[in-house]
Amino acid sequence: MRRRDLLKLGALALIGARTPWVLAGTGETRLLSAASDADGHHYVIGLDETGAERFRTALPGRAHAIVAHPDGRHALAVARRPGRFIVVVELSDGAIVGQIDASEGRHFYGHAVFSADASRLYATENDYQRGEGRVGVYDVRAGYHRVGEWPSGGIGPHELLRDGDTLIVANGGLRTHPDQGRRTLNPEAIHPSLVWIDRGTGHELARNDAPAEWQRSSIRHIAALADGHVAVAMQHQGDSGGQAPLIAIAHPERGLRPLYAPDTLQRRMRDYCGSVTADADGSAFAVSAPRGNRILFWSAAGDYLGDIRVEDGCGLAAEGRRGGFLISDGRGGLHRHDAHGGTTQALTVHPAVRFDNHLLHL
Amino acid sequence: MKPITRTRAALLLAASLAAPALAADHQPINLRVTDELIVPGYQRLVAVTADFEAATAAGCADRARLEQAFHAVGDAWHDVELWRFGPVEYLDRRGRFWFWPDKHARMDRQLRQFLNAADRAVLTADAIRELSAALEGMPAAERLLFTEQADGLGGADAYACAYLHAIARNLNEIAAGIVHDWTDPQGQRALVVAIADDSSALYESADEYATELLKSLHTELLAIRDQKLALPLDASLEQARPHRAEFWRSGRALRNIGHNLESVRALFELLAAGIEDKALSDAIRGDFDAAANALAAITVPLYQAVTDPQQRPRVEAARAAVNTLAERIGKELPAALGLALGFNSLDGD
Repeated sequence: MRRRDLLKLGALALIGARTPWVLAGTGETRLLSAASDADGHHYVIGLDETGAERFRTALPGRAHAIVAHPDGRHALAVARRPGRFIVVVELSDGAIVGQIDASEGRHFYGHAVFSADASRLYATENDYQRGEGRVGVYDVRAGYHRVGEWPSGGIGPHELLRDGDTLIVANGGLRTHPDQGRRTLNPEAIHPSLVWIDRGTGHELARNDAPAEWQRSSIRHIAALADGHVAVAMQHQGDSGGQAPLIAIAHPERGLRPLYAPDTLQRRMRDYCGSVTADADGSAFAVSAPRGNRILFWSAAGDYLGDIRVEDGCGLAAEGRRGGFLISDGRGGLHRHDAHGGTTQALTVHPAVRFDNHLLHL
Repeated sequence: MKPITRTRAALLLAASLAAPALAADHQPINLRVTDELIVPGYQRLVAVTADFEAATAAGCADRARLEQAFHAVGDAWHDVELWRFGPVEYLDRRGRFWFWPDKHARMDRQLRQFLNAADRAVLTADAIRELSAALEGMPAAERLLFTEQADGLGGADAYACAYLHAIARNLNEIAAGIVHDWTDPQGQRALVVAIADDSSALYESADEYATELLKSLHTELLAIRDQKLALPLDASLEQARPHRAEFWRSGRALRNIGHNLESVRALFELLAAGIEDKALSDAIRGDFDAAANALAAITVPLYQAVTDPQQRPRVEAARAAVNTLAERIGKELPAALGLALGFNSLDGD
């Protein structure tokens, strides 16, 4: 038996001992994440339902979100800023079958989304000479040929979602230029916003601008809740001593409503949220706070449900059942939590792997 | 409630004795770093900015006196630049004090407009705080002292001199605010002290604060490597960008790095008390020496060195030496201290 298989068996034994969640792997790739190792190599990793590794594909640089292709056979690994690649991999074995390069004068921001019919791909991009956010539009069936772009409605667009034929874009507000790496060029005047865009025409349908007193809280990650509401996770620039809003619920007509964690926890989040994900039926959402080593859970109405401690926990995915979440961390760990029942299980650990911010569950 | 039996009491005692042995207790080192490096460093920043304010109060005729006061502020800032948490991050104090790298073309234009307007109303303590970060801190002070703008400094009644004085006063207020927010009974130091009896509103454990210190150490080395040296070097001699050197107008780039490296080393030496692996501490000390020697071998200002065929290889060697140091510290020091630098917590984007 090969060493790799032995390791898999070890992981299975560990899971079997701790949780009845899944007793045996299906052999299919069900979890994907960008990841790095201690030597600074970057990968997209595919895992089966048990958390056992199915493939590890080297990437040209550090990726951010992994996006499921609606065909059920492929996924995209999107370069984090200021990267310029989107790599297309086979779900079965992780083989790279295509690559989209950012066009001249543009780079990606780590997030992209397909149209429901999979005819179009939309990616957040930076027009870095002008310092303006863009949504790049790609014709999927024409080999991801870039067919146009729209204004994102702000600077530094990050995560984008699709709700029917509407795109929702989080404009973080941070201006950067690839010549200066990831450095923020406008720290004194960021104007974060959430913008609703018609995916057919590119027209702006609605927007929420962060109020002046939030001006340093960059709106970075978003998740769709029920009834057109959107959960928002922010990253404050600087140290606010626990005063800055970090989580909010947005709505195109009703605007942004901030949510604050219970006192000490709000401060211990250290002004930084990693990602936000809604559960399978939109009844709850989770927010990761890796600097505070916490995952927080909220009801869709904005009621605080509780939190758990996960060292360097950041990636989040809906687990399939109501209130169920999967969590990945920067130490190679995967965890499961039931936000309504309050129970947590450690699933598996890949000690040589650092799972990057986002976790995709198919 | 059940009475505690003798056996159970003995077990509890054993457990409480065993717990600290599992990992090194970082709290004594946390307090030493706070009280020997952080707070005194900011107190020194208050003193030198007060002197800068005093120097500019008497008019701007004595250029040598102004430059000496300016450089003392630059030195003191680079002794504390590594602390990237707590009061220096409140109210954008870091950016307001030392905005860099700046977009120099835009800033030069802003500064010219500002001097042409010569509006004394914006030089009050309240108004100058509302200016853009680049105009209220050290970048503007540098241009006033080390470019053709210096010709306008003139006597005590000259607008540029009054502006420089307003900047110096603003820098002193920022520094005083940082010291206040560290030393106040409810301040950052109190949050560190409270770790001992588990009552800190911010830190859940001594390890968390020790991790902040470790991140400060590592991040400053990356800033030296990836910004302070790499930006002016760029990819080749032909592509070198001398004006990306930090504070090239006042020729401070290497001096800044020297103070950064000294402060990082002082922090390392306090942390090293908690390392059992003496071979690792010695290797890191060797790396520090090598980096300092490589930097000392550059004999002209950094902005000149990157375009000089003789000097440029020395800058590249210095970057390589800082890289060796940063890599060893990033890979080996956290485990030796029983800590982790974090991955997503460093920069999850």
